[in-house]
Amino acid sequence: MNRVSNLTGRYQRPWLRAVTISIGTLSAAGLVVPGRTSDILLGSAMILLITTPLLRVVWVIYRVAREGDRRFSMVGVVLLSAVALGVLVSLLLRG
Amino acid sequence: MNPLLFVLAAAITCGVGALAGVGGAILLVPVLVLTGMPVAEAAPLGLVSVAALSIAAAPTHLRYRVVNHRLGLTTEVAATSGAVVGALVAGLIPNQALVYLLAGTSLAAAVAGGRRRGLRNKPDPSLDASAVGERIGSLSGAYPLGNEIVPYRVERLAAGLGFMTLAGLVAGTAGVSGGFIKTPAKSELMRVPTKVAAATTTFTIGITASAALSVFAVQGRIDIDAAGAIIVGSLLGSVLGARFQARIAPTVVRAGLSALLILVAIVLVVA
Repeated sequence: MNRVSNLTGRYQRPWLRAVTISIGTLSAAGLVVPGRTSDILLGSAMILLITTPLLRVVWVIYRVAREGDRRFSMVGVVLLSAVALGVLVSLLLRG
Repeated sequence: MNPLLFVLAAAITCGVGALAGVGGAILLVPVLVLTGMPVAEAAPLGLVSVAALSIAAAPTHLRYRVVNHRLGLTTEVAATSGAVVGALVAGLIPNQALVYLLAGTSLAAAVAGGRRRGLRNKPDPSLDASAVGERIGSLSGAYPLGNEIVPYRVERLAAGLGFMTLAGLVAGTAGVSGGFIKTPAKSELMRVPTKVAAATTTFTIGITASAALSVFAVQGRIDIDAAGAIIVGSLLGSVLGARFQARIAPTVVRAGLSALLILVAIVLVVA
């Protein structure tokens, strides 16, 4: 069997907890605060919500590459490229 | 719809979904559609709920080292491609067709949930705690089960990727997580232990949701006020559901959820 990866989640856990609390707090505050501040708070929560899973992928690519596992770091790059392509196509279709 | 009702709907559906381990969007989206919201508007809100659940559940799954990131990245290339295509074409599909797709999806989830099986991979007494985790350069790994260590290998990758593409398409068009396709496909088809399959799926549904939400955000299809309420409700429901999960037998919860999903499918078609 191949070597065991040291991708244990030790670094991901604390910041994912912090992000969960931040997203919940920003959303709850955005619901009770009126006007433009509400839009800013809810918009920030949405940005965090959308980018966090993608940042996790970036982190995994980095850790996997550091282990010398080029095959799976390339798979991660292909995955992010698929997301970027989707956003690009939707921008082109909108414009 | 009143923001408090969004919070309540997301909290209840995510709570029930977390109890059964399938997420909340599979119930939330049909509930929103039944209140008169078009599927094209309800789908992004369903994915907001999926992303919130994926992020909130991550620390627990990571603590037990049951997430296989390499398997997640590999299967997610197919699922994300499907989700992006689904999100791009969702606006072009008539609402009634999406309602039927949602009803079919609910029925499929009911069947998949009801068919889930027990232990397949056997513990290896020669392995100790240092063997737990994924393997460098491969999709295989080992996970802890009580005091024992269970090794596993991934089989039938190509067929699995086909199901992941389907799961992504369903997520992008109907706004559900697709986890009810991904977890059984990993577990039953690719022979990944259910615990690893479920934890890896929770990691990947966040990526699928994120990819589809990026497209919806560019298209201006996310109601930011409703999304805020859905996030609050989803986080509350996920935490409460996970807390009660240990007190109720999983078989009872899965049977109840399957019955509820069949009812939802019937109401969607009839209403």
